[in-house]
Amino acid sequence: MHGPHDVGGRDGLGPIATEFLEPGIPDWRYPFEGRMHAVTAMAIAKGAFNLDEQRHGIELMKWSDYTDSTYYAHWLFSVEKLLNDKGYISHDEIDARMAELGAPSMTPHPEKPATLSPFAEKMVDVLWKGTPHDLPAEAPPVYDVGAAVRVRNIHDTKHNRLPGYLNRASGVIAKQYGAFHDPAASAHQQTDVPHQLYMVRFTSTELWGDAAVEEFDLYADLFEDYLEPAN
Amino acid sequence: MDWLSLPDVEARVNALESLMVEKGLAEHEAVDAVVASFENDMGPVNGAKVVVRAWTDPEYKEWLLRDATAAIADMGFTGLQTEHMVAVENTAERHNVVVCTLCSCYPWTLLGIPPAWFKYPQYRARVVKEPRSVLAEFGVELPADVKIDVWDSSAEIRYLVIPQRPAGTEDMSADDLMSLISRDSMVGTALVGTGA
Repeated sequence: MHGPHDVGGRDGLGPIATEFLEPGIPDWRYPFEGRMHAVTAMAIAKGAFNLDEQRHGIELMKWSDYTDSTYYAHWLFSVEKLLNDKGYISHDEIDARMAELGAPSMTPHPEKPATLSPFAEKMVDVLWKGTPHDLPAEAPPVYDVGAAVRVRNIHDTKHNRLPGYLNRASGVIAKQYGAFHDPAASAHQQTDVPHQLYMVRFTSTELWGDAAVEEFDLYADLFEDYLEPAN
Repeated sequence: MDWLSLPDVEARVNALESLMVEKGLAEHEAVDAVVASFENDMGPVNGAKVVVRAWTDPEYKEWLLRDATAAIADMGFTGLQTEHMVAVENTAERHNVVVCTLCSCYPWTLLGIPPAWFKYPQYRARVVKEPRSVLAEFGVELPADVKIDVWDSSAEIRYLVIPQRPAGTEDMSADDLMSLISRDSMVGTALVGTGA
């Protein structure tokens, strides 16, 4: 969907915050950021929802909330919505717990516990093993490297990984990656459906017009159904 | 959303964690362990090791450019959001810069947690439209004849930029070379100098 997250090429979002360009800022600036990241990974590991559902949840934020909030508020919105809608934890329970707990005191930069529970060990293991996203293909790739393709004019309100600025753009297949699990099927049906993935190259004039201020090439990784042969 | 302020978000995350622990979806000490792993064991030091090996071992560099997933796995740095990798090389003719316009996709085990500028909408919106101008804001002024390639991580492939090795570093030890390589240089928003 071309929601508030789909910002590639959009004007008017302003300059990069100068505070972000100062050297030495920790990548997790507040203790709640790392904790939100960790509990999200845990909920996924426990099977409450998957990564594609979590990304899609963020896409459903109100536009002004998306642009005005601190980054990990996006994760909080999505995880809270998913856990509520799936019946794990309701919004009201969170409201009530907030009132009970009062002001938090989170430890910044916690140390790794001396002994890890089986679940903690499993989580650290997941961090280093990852969760591969490729799948055996059910059909060979339709497009060869070098093929001229055009991005289809897709305005689906479901989750996909098609940046809006690439709609209808013509490009060239630069690489075949093989099949990866389809994000829409994963987000909406929680199924693993193989879908051929390609690296596609676009020119700046194709994307931004003959009057494009800068000249460069842009590469994006796009699924087969996002593409059609260019005439 | 009534809770946009930092204190509100913090309080809500706190309540969420508390409830998740109660319902068996999380454990407090496991959260500490995951946070500690990210902060201590994952980070650009890992990426810099890959870059130094590529700089000093031509066969490794060729492998890295051909099959980054396998070459990075060989050094033990694949992992969550780092399962599928492509390495792109900066040269005298070409400069690479990476973005995730749709969210903040980033190779966690190799480079750590992405910096704020990578995650917020402003960089994501502009670098795919005016990369040279954005790079100038990061202090990267490229000669006009250097071609720029922008990589939008729109699927599960993650990108590592191999910065150019500066001239005059031929006799430097691996440790000294490591100290030259910044996180930003492996995303494409910085160049590597000699540290002189």
